[in-house]
Amino acid sequence: MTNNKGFSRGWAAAFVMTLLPVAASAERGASGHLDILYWQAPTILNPYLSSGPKDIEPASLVLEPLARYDETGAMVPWLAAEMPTRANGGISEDLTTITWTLRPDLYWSDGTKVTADDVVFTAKYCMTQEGGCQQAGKFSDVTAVEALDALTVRLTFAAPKPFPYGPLVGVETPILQKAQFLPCLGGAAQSCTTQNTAPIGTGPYRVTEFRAGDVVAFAANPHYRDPDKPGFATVTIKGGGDAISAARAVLETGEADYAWNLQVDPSVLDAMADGGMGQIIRSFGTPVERLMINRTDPSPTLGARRSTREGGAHPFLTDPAVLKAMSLAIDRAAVAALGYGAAGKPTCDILPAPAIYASSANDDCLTQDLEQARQILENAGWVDADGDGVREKNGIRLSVLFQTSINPVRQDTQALLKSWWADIGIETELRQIDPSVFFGGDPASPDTFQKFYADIQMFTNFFPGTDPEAYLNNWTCKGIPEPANSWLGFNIPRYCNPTYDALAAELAKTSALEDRAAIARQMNDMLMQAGALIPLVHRGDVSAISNTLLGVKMNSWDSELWNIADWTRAR
Amino acid sequence: MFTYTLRRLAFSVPLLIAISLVIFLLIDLAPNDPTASLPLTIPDEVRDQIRTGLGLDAPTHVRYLLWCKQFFVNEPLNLLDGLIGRDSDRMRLLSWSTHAPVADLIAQRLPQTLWVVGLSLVIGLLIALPVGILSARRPYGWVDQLGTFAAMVGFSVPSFFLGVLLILLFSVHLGWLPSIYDTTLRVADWHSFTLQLRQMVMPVTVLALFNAAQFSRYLRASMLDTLHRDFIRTARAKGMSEPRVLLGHALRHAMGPVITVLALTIPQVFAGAIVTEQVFRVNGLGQLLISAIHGGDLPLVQTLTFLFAVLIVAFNLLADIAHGLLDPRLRYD
Repeated sequence: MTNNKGFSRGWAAAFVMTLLPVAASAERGASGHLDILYWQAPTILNPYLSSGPKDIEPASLVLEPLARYDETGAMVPWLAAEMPTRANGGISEDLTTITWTLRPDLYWSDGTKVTADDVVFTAKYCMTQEGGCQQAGKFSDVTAVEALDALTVRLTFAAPKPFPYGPLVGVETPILQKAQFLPCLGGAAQSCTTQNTAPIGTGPYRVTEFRAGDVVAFAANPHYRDPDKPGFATVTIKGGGDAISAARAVLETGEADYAWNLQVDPSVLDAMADGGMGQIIRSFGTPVERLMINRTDPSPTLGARRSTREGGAHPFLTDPAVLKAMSLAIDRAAVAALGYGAAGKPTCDILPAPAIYASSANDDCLTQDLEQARQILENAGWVDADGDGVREKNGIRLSVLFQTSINPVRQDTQALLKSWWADIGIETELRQIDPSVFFGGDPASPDTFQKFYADIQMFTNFFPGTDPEAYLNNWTCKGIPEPANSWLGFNIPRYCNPTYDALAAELAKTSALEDRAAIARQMNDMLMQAGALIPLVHRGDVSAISNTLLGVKMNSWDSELWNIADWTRAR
Repeated sequence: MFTYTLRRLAFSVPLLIAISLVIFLLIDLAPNDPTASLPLTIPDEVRDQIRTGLGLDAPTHVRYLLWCKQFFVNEPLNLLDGLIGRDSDRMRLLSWSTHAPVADLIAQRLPQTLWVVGLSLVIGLLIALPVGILSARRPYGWVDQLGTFAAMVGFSVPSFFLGVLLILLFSVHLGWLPSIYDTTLRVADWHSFTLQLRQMVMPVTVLALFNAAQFSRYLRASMLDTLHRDFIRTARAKGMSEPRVLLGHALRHAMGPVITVLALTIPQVFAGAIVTEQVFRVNGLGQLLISAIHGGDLPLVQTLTFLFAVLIVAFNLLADIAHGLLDPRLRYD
């Protein structure tokens, strides 16, 4: 960044002074200053109270979990000395406890020792009611967390847990310092401004200045466990603006070294990258843009019973022929290329990654076949008898209301699908809803994605980490949103199949990875064959880095900044 | 004049209370949820807990009264305590998305907004005064034609376009000016002062062009009207010099409408320039407001909009007083 060289030099000087007594090597901080752009500005640095990656990822410079995911999705011990497994006794035979051992060389950035008490406290912090902990779901079936000695912690679960690496693993649930957060338990969590904006951590950096929604400045942590790291002495994460200008600042003006989450028209991004100052990096995690098919009747005449199982099945969207034809009519490659460029891959699976879980049983939908789609409808008795271009059967017209959130890419996709479906004789009415209302979950609003007062809707969902169990549990019968549960639940298509529920129960008991993967693939295939969900695009993460930046390993499974300690500047 | 001012001040108290209630209800009744921007993977029970944690489950009137207490009682007292250096432990007005006191957030944002938007107002006025006067003196002369053209551009080219155009020219192609505003820059010496100047050039230019266009058109129209009045002819007939006629007699009379426009524009300085701040990442009050609206951060939106309402009421009052000073006939005694 040209406009704050003076600032960064000042910091570098200050940093070298403080480092002199401890510095064993000249390497730490040798790369100077790093400028990162997060166009959605960080507003808090406590992942337990945060609203998404824009806060959680900057916080990962400071706070670290026991274990995290590397760029391939593999779990690596981070603050823990090794990964607990059944083989090394870290996981009990009955699968109800997991025992973590901390690395012995850990210090907080204030110089005090990290102990098992900090880990126990972190779990307690999130599990305390009234604290509004946003990661509470990860701790939902933890019954006890206890320190066995200064470096060992045991977590006990209410039931056997084949995949016990949920709590305290990954970027969302790092370890907090007990001494700092002790006054912030429960209701006090919300008003602990100092703690929430400048947490003391074990990570490569510590916060030197925090301006909510604007900028965060970091300096290297003098007590970081590796004396040669981090490579950069100081880091600023600047927020604000939009994705296009963030891309420009890295690729065209060179003012910043790293720009995060560039959901920009792919052709614009490629043109910028031609400038030669930087490059675009991508990686694929679990997000899939999908259509959800309402299997219940959303007709307004049903009143309060619309879009509930009580109101009855959908008049035609449970007919496999219609669903198959609608899926076949879509050119997924075109949708991906238009909206996402190289950051989107056409997919026929709701669970496309990690590779071990990806099924290949549904890949025939990858090629668009309008003729076959028409034939399927014809054979099922859906014909256009009155010549208005829309097929009907028994007085029911194939006319759908298709809703999504307001977003230029989604509106383009809507228009494309509408034209393809018109080609095979299905009429589509499009509807767009403001994202804050659509995703708002207000039980009083008729326009939320949970109420689903439409035939088809589209958005992206994903799961954090690499284990799909909770994600697949979304589509069990008890996950159906309805008035009785205040429309809570993520089974948006209202899909209910006892066989699927049985598989989910089996997955909860299975611990060998290969067996888990086989069940997960089977569950994915069931959902796809029922046509409850029509996946469109496997979305990747896109960021831009300066050509002078080395060591970046783009990661969709954890924080993109997960290995920032290893980043350096090319000389 | 004094009793008039007092009466107006007294009247603005119930007005502001009514405004605060209307703003609160408008924001509260709108479909809006602070947990809407959370990832979909967060279970609904947790969302409910978060809402409870934010105090959203209390009835509307309780939350309004709580806001009133925090805004009108706690925050001023905290400010007082801060001034005399005493620690205070009153419950502060907290933003939902940042969990930080609203007053601190505003204090963080005010400097860059005042620098950039305030300076653009001053520069806009400095351009508008000569342009408006000279245009009116010789209507359809070259100064007027040029001024009209520039004003048209200033009015009709939107700031998101002009801003990006300037960035492409001066940052991407020429590499002269930074496109990212660094709010952590502290002006300590000559070097940091030049850095501050360089990063302000583009945002201030964009905003000043619009302000200059607006003020110069009002001033031109008002001056044209005035220059045809009898008292101007009298002044000229008495043999006064042209500058004295223009500046001493005509301008004073013509400033009336411009003062009104100015008084209505100054509160907007504090509201920030939402689009321009976004383009150059100035991250001032405008960006704060827009991100608070996106995040459903009710306490922050409520406080900011109410502060703007206070400023608008206050500056309208000031404009009336200024009218009285400029034109003694308008003193309501």
